[in-house]
Amino acid sequence: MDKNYIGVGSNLLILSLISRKDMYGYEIIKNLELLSENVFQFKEGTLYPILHRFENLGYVKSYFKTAENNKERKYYQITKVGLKQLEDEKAQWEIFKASVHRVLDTHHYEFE
Amino acid sequence: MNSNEFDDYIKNVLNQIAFVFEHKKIKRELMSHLLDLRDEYAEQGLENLEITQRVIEDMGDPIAIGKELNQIHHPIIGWLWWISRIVVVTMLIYCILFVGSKFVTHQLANRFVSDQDFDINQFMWGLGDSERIALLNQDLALTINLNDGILLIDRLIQTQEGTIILLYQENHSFDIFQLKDRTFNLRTYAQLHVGDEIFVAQSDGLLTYDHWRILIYKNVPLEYSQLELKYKQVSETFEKVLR
Repeated sequence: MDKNYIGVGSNLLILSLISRKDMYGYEIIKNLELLSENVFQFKEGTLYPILHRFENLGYVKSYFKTAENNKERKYYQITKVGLKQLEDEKAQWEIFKASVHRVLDTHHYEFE
Repeated sequence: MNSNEFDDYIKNVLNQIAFVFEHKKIKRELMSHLLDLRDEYAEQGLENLEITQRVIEDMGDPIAIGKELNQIHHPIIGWLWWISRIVVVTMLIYCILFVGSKFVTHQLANRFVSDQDFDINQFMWGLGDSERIALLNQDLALTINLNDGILLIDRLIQTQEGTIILLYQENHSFDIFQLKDRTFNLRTYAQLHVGDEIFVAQSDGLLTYDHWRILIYKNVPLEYSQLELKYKQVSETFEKVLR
């Protein structure tokens, strides 16, 4: 898939995942791959600048947690501000989606 | 953290990030991800060397990632946050020391000391030894910078009659031959503010014991919520005296 599409929607996708449950970086990437049936394949490292930016902006809060197998992971949790941002991005996405459809589906052109 | 095959990769990332306080956290996070990837490939039965290569390739260019992270963890914002925390903590400590412990000495001190009890010489020799004095001694460690030295306001004592006694020391700098007049008079320039009232020191004493001096304020009301010591920078005045 053209990487340009990813840029547009990545905030939306990542926030959406985190809003369902707290997740750590590797988990987010794997879930993106699974849920999108491998259409969305992030380069692993590019995720972290995005997550850290989210935290700076207050969309998410992070904490370290050690699992039973002594693996330590940094989890991200969505905040109220993040939820609001998610709603805004969802709305923008709907507008974008509808506009694309309109252009694609219209066969009668006004401007000739 | 144990050293492993991904240390160089992480070092390449961290080298791009100027704000060092975040380095540890970033290393933990990235290392955990690299190890998860390693486990994933290990399950597929690949060779160690190939695993390492694939993991690093999957993760991406460490320098590019580091540069982006550096943009986010901007040093100036980070340092400002740290400095503001230190300032707040310092101010809190100062407030607690000055206001909070005043309350304690107010409760304890007045029961034990009256003006008659306070004899300067006796007090000086008993400094730190007498239990009664220890109760109402309050270490202030308040430092005032003068142009040519430092003033240390060391202790504060309060008597039943409402007398407040401040002990201070001066440390002149570069005064090996003691050319400067050592009877510098803080009394004139230090005022005790209690609520709306202002108290000027009634007298001060020069003692030979370790260069301690005493300021005595009379009739300070015992019921107070806030005590403020104000002083003026005296460099100009000081020079006049010398001339």
